[in-house]
Amino acid sequence: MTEPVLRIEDLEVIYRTDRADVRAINKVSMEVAPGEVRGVVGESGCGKSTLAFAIMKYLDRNGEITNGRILFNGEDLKDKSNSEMEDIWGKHMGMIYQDPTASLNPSIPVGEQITEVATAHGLASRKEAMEETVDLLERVHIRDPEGIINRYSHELSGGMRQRIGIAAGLMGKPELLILDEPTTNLDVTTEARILDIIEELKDELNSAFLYITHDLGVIARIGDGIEVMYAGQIVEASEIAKLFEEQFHPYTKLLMRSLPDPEGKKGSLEDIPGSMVDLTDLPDGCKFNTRCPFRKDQCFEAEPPLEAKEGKHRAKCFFAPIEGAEETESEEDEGRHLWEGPPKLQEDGAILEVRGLKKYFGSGGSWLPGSNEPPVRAVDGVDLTLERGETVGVVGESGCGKTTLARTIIGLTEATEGAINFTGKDVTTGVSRRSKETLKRIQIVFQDPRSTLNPKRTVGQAIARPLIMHGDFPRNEIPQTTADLLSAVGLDPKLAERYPNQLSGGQKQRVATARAFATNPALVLHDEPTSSLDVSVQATILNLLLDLQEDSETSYLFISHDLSVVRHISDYIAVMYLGNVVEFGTAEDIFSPPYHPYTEALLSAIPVPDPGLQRKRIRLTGSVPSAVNPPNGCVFHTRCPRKVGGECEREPIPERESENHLIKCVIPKEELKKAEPVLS
Amino acid sequence: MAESSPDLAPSLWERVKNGFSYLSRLRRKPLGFAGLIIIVFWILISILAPYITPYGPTDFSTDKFVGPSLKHPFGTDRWGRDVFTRVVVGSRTAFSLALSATFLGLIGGTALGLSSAYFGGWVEELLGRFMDVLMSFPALLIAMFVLGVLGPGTINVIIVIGIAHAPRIGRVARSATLQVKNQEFVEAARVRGESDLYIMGAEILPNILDTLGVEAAIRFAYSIFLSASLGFLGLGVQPPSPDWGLMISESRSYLQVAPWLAIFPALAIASMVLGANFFAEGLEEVTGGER
Repeated sequence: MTEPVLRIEDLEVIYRTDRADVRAINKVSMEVAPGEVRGVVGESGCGKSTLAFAIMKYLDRNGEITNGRILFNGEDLKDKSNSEMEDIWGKHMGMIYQDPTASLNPSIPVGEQITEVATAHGLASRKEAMEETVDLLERVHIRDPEGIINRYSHELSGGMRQRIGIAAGLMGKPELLILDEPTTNLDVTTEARILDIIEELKDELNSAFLYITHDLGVIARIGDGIEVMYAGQIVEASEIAKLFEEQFHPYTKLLMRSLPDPEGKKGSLEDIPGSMVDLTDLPDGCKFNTRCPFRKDQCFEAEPPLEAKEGKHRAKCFFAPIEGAEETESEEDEGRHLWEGPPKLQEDGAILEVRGLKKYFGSGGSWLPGSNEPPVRAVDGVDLTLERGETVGVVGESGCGKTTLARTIIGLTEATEGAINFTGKDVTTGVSRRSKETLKRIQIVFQDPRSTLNPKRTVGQAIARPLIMHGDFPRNEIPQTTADLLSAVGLDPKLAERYPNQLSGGQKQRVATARAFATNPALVLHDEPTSSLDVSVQATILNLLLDLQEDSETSYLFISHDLSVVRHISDYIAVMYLGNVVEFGTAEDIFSPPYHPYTEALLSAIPVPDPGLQRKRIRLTGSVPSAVNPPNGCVFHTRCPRKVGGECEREPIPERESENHLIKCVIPKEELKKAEPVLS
Repeated sequence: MAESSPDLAPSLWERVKNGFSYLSRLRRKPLGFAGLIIIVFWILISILAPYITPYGPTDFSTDKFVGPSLKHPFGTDRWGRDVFTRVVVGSRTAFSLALSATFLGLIGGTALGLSSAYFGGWVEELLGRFMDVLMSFPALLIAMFVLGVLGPGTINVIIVIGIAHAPRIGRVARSATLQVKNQEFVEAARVRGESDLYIMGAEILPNILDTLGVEAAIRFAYSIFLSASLGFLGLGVQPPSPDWGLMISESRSYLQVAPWLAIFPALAIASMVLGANFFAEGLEEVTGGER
């Protein structure tokens, strides 16, 4: 076997803060060999990014390596000074960051920034470096690299910027490339293309890749080996295929089960009880003992070693593989009701009917002549129907208008054209002109747990306010009702006295849900309610939403960029692209042929936590056209891999419809039906 | 169900405790803590003024232009009035003027800034231009102009300084509001059907109070300064009331013979202005750290 490029031994990192020492990394040992992609996976706060920065010797000023060795090509980096590290950075060790917007200098052309890596180390002359940059840009599939090198980062799309970032990381031909969540901020179709590039590079170069991510689906696609981190420790390590086949550590096992399965049905997910341990106050014994459902006395007395359980598959657990772990799953299932298919569509009594809804921004313009700019068509003619107790998921990539759709329905912005009907009444107005009854019956849960609650109000005040405004019961019952609502969303009623900064992200999102349900609404809009949460927390929130719906028969409009999540929670799904709904149908319809070509591309791009999965590879080229000037005819024709010809550019685009399944496409349904299923 | 339902809102005691926790955190900021001590010192002086002064502030005596001595620690002026007494009692004038003017400016400025940022559109344009116009003149110039029309006097000085502060506080209130107004909890309130007044007062205002508090402390320091300047120009508090600015003004002709007449009130002004500024700086660090 080849010598590893990087070997970490018993690494410990501590952040010193005013209050206490944060033990971010606790005795981590691992190796990365040339030509392999080693994934480091874990939820937020597990120490995976700290690990990356420790290897780079680029920790924040209060971070300190207190123990262990970092052997890079046999040399210990721990004692290297910054000036010695400067020779290593870029030339021997490259890093690709999560946010290419922040890692590129906005005032220097991108080509210059890539060549800099080589010229700064004296590896090449400016001219040679420029030529190499053009080569590299071609390699990361940038068309017209000679033109791109003179552009500035703000002129490029997110996907392009990340490719520039990758090119800069590769410029010095480093032996080790560290990737810190390089696709997390990108849309799925862009992510799929970036992952393709990384896969290609892995085959071409003999570098070692350390790939840090929270997404098991991503690592399943491109990883060779995987390390699962929890509380600054590696709890399980294995070959990719082995790990996805069988998980030995309870944490990994539960983490896998908390993922919504893109091939799965609407139903309850497994979740991990409790939350990430406090890194300033780690428990004795096994660090997972605060949340582990299989813990025994021994787990509190001593810390289990990371030991081989089967071949090279190692786990940090005394009892792995745990006997009886599979059975708890079925017990769990019996306790909960599984969702039994979507409710029947009824002709009358729709909760929400949206007809021809349009929302254009900036159409007013200025009163000066000749300064009227064309409006941004955020939502451009959307029809939706939502029945009692059912969920319609709206899915699409950033900028497709899904959030604007929700904001227009709730009245935060006023529709430009079209009609919104709620329980038979026309409510096509902004909130200020809606009746009290309407306001009471439509609620919304927002995306960002950090800003969804007023930091100066207690949890109790936040939930009590809608009760005071809209409730029909005496004031002295409000505290009790608030407590009941908190229990209903799975929180201790005592939390009512807490302020938001004392809660975790998942708890805040539960409070926001309780606040939305306080007025007994008929319709709740969910705008990406789980997208900033960890998967294990996401699972608990999704379960909660399904439970609440079952009890209250509330209708949901669920907006998300994540197809797996949408499939998990929705009865019907609307796929949006550039302000239009291009496909609408039951979750089953959307995930099997006939597909709209865009849906097909989306499905083939989603990362699936199954390394053995073979599927069609459909990649979209170019970027989403501007919503100021959308393409004529079918909005998708500029990027459509199945474009027929001129008729795609002419109105009207036929709507292929059968039994609640609608596809807006020129290609006849019979033809579309012949497509192979993307996920089988 | 639950035998006792929990309290929804924090008790008054909790709130007071929270307030003190801010101040206790000031202890780790040397400059801010020094400012706090100076302010507290002057507050005590002005409260205890009648008990620590040996004479009345307007009592004449035959000991004219007497230098600092045990009998008259800060000396006496040309009427034989005790300068120490006048400086101590003058702190009451300074405090009451500066506090009321700051308060007035705070109310006006917050109303201007908060509503202009919240409503946006033409309201913002209109209020914004109004504030720009007020701010394009130096505060002292506006004050002199308005006092020239209204005539001098304590109440008028308060109004004038308040007007001078309002656009500056307004600008701070506006930028703080802009940061808060698009947060999701504000949208949640709009969706709930809350009135604009409720959203501004109950949802946004509490979240910009920290920023406004720091600004108020800075404005307080300016008020001291400005009221002393106006007193010096004879447009503020009228004689024979003890006012630091006025005292310096009256001492001008006797600087050679009786420098103590100017030194002690000047020191008083300087210490109070510095103290308030230090305090503001410390407050900014303490509240800024939380966000």
